[in-house]
Amino acid sequence: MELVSVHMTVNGQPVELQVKPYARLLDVLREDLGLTGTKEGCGVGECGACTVLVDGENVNSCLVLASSMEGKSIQTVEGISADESLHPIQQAFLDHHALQCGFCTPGLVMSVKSLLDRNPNPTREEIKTAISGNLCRCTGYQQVIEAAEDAARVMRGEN
Amino acid sequence: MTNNRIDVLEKVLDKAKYVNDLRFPDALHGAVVRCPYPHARVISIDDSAAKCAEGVAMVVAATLEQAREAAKLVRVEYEELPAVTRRRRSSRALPSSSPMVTFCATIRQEREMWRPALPPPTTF
Ligand code: FES
Ligand code: FES
Repeated sequence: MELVSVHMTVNGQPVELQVKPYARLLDVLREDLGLTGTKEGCGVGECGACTVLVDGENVNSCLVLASSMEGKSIQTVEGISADESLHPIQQAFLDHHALQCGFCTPGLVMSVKSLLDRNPNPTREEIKTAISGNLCRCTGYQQVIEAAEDAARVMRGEN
Repeated sequence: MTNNRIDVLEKVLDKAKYVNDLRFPDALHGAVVRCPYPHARVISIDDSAAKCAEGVAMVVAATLEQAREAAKLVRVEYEELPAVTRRRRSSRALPSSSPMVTFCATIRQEREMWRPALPPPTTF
């Protein structure tokens, strides 16, 4: 089978890969690059566990062909915290008990990140909309919304 | 605020490994052929085409992709059976062979078996 060559930036690092024409961005991140923080929950765009940022936009990486990522900049959950220090969003998830099994967490963190990057002071409704593509089967959403509000405050430099 | 749970830090930092995140050298991969019906009886399974697929020995394969491809070649014949898809208020009007009635009876039997350990059964 003919492989397709793609150049993209993943968490700030340029990478060049030969990918199968039908490989999903999710497969390439998890299998080729070993970035298993991005999860596959459903594989059909329902659950958001595979959420990553492509040029700042949150996308379901299970619905994106890796070969279409030429020249794009991808940010995964591994890319948001430097040297194991917690990003304010991660800290807020921890503080607010916004996770149980944690399988949905990387996707939720990325959706919240994409929101806060665009809108540092979102309303609760805006937060709900931003995470509406992320399903959590154990914790629910209340704590996640509170964590997002708290992270927004911290990122704005308040308290 | 503090959170003393021992598992959360790893999870929030994406360091936690879930089963699907583990990698083992020389691992064989399996793929599951799932039944497309909620309730059915398996009449026959023909895996001869699957066994001929590249990289496949029995029902496991060298790569996950090969396993998934081979799983598509497994032919299963089903007899579709009636299924319980929602809970009814009362099962009184249903014939005793209906899946809902059998389901409730099974649940009751299981409850009976475990009774000393369980709170009283709720009515179905
Ligand atoms: S794995 Fe991509 S949305 Fe569920
Ligand atoms: S914490 Fe388990 S799915 Fe959300």
